Amino acid sequence: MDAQMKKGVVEMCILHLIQSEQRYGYEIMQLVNKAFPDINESTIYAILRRLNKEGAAKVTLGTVSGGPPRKYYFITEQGRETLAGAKSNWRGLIASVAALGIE
Amino acid sequence: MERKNRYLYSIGMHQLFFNSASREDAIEIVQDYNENMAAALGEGLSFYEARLRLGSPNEIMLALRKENRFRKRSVYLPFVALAVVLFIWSFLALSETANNGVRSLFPLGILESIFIIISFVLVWVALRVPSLSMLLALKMRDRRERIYLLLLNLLPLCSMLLSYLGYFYIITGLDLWLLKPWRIGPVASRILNITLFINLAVMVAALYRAIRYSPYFIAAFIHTAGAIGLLLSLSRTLHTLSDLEGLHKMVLSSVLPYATGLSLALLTLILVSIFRKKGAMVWMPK
Repeated sequence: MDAQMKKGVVEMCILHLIQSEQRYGYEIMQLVNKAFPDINESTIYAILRRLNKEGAAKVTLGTVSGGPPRKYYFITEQGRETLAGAKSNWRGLIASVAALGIE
Repeated sequence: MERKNRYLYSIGMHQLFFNSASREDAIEIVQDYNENMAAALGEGLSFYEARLRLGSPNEIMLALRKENRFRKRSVYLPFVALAVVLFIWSFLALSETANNGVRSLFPLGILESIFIIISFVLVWVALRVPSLSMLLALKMRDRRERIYLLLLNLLPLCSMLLSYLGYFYIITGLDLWLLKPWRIGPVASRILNITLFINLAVMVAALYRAIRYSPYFIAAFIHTAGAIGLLLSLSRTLHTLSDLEGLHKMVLSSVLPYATGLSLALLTLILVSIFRKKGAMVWMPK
């Protein structure tokens, strides 16, 4: 998959993961990496950070016994809109490709 | 624990030195990786496995830099500065103007002008780092260490200020028509080249250590760069103003200012090494 396209898809996946529940950074990196093993964690972290900066995701601090406080990411209203747009584009893309007979 | 701290420290240094994050962002990134590392180790991974999974400091820096287009452009600035320094050295070593004492078209000499530009570039790149280390200097054990750290931070700044005062003095305090650059003989010029080259070697070594170990070495690097700028100006001025004809006097007026500059730079490096060994300069997130 093209790197730029993959980045967009990963962004959508991250937003999807934090849509239903709050998740901490390492957990998100692990889950995304399972689906995209060729994308390294540092890239996923960079996307996560950008989403946070752009206001699509927000952070809340949680405590862990015996470790540093954990940052939990959750989706914002703006993030939900971005996710809805990305999902719609993704479905459109799949439909267009399927219409040409490519499975 | 020490390996983890070194890893986190290196992440912060990469962000700052290659300008891929602001000071606040760099602190946040290090804290995030502290959390990520703790989570990875909590899963039962060894340090090396966790490091491999999370990425090297360089990979992290590159990934974050891609997300920040503005900062991407300025990443090569330190290398540009080094390239200019190398150009100056080659100019000194090869140029007939520098070696044969032919009068320069530039009233104060092209070298001084270029050094002023380099100084500004270097200050821009490196000032961020000592101020960050001041913010993050790990738990001071007593007040004395706090004072020493402050002094070590102020030293390069004072050196730079001194450099600029030197330039200011030379530019304003002298009658330019009295300068006689053609009086600089070839032997004195060569000695000047050698001493300058030694200074550059110290500067590059300090830069390497800054990248590898501690932000305080960047301070030393700047200190040396400032000292070179100032002493180059003063040395040339000494030559031209003192109207010295005797070879030994010319040699003395060349070597002394540079030996002083070199000693100052080495002293800074030694001070930094001592404090680094004591652990006062290694910082880590809480």
